[in-house]
Amino acid sequence: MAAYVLRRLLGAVPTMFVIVTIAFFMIRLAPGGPFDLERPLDPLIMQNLERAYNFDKPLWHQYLIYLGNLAQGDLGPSFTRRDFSVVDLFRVGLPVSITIGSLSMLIALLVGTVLGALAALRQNSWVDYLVVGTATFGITIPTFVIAPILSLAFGVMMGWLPAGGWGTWKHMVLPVVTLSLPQIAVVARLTRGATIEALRSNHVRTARAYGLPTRVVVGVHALRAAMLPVVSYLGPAAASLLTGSVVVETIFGIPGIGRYFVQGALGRDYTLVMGTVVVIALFVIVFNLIVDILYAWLDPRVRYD
Amino acid sequence: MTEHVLSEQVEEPASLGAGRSLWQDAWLRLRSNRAAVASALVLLLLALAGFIGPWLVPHSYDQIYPQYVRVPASLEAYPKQDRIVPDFQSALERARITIGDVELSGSVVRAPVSDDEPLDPRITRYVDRSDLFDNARLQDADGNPLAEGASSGFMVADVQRLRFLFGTDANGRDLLARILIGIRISLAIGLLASFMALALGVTYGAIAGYFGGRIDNVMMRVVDVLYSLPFIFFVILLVVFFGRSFVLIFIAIGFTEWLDMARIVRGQTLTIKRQEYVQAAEAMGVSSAGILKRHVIPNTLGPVVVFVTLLVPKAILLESLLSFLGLGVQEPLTSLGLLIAEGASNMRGAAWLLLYPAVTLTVILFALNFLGDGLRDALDPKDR
Repeated sequence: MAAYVLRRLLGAVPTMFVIVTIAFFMIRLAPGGPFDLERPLDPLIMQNLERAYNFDKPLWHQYLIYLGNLAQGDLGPSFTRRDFSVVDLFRVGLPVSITIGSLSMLIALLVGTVLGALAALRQNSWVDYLVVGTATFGITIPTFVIAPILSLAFGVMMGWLPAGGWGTWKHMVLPVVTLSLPQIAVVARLTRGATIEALRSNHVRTARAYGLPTRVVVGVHALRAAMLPVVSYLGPAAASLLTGSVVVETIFGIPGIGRYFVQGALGRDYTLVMGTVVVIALFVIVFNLIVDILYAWLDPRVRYD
Repeated sequence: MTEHVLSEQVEEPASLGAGRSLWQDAWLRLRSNRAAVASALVLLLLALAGFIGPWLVPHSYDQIYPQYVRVPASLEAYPKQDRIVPDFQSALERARITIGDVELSGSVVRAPVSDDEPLDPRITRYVDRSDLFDNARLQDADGNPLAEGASSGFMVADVQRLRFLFGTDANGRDLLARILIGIRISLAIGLLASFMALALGVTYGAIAGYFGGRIDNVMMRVVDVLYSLPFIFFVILLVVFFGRSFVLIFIAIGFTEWLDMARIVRGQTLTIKRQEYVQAAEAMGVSSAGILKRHVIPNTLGPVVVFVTLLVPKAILLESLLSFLGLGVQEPLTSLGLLIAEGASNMRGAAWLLLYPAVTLTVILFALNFLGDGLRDALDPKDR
């Protein structure tokens, strides 16, 4: 197992390298720069700035410098937020994004599996139809429609929760609900399908034949098998949570890294954008690894060696 | 007579025993799926609305009515009755003349005006400038045009009746016209981007699958690496850094959505290339390009069609997401995502600005998804 993890981590290095390279050259080849202001800067100041940030060197040289710094964990200074390095910004923003993301994921898994299993156990009853119908809604309606409507309903009209901002637990409710709703829908759908299949499978029939109580048959034997597609969905789920967090953080005004990314891209903040790309790619890679390990643990037929 | 009988005899077994083609079969199954048929109708209506609707509504999507900013949706025509007299008065006050009582009869407002000096006929412009009034003119007491040099008379103007069925936005533009344009843009980008992904993915997947071996290995490795990239972020980068034109948006979206297509087509191609008719074509010396074009690609179409119908809502979603973040189409042009974003920032006190575009987008997405599901059931019944 340790060898497998190590090999996977080593395999991630070329992927990261490709990502960093594409992102770096894409940003640099684009017109405009971080020092383009409404009024052009004095040429001398511009020259100094360019020298300070190594912009006067050829592009390949800058790329090597960036790679060297990256290898040491230095993501460089931010251009739009003076006096902050990108690492500083992430130290503030990353915990916020991770809090929202992991809470949403947790809720999606809990609520989704419970709903899905309920629907499967009561197949073709009103519970089933309700869950399936709601799931269809949840999958189809995009985050950026749900978010403002929730904010309008609970924040503006009823005034129960703050419509935006960050600070107390109350600020977290709407973003987390928004992010988790589509995930709940997908997880519920997957669990329902897998549970229905698992209930018909041989090992569950055997467990029943042994006279095990339904609680154990469903809770241990059927659900464990039903968890497999859900676990393999976790990778894509993490990716869509990341996308969703860009929207949710923008709408609710949450100081996370998704918002940094949009602002950074608009302000030609090279280092901030690069940093976000690196962090997010790293996150996706690690998450996919965790999913694969979980998969092997849940399904002994899967072996990695 | 004999001829007739003969021809009937020939025809009958043909019509009884003729096998239905895959597409006829699929068509029949699709037609019996009520959700899919209803969705197709809804989509057709929406597409028509987006295509010809903007010419039918009386307002242009970029015309600004400064006096009708954020008016609520209403079936009644604007201006509301109680606004006419005060607005007429305030328009006249700008002309710095003495104004008597304003009277309103039907759709004509009339007010006695007088001044120390002769009335300048150009003061009608103060009234015409308002969105509420039209055809302002100076008259004497009998309704004839005012004689030149007179220092008192009547200012008469027609009330301009405007309908804003969906209300107006924060800049005073008709929301209905904007939603129609938004539908047009969103559908167009969705279709074009899907077409782009289709062309790229089918070509790539078919080549990789057909040639196999090392070429396949390398090509699919590339897809795997691209797969692990956080693609939405690359779309955002592309759009931000290379401008925000309509063309670039659908190219960017097309570029991100072709990977699944390439995988599906490759898998299909691997099966198809072992079929006898492909071997026959090879034996006859048909070129690889010819076999790909004539045999491989047409036979992958079933799953591809299904995938494309599910791709269109994805592309629309991505476009709306970009527009929502302010990275999509630019003002005054608009798309549903942009309208939702504007609605979200104006939702306090003007909820309709958020709700109408949101509902429109949701309906489109639902219809496309149901139609896609229906097509999948129709074309691929074993996957039900």
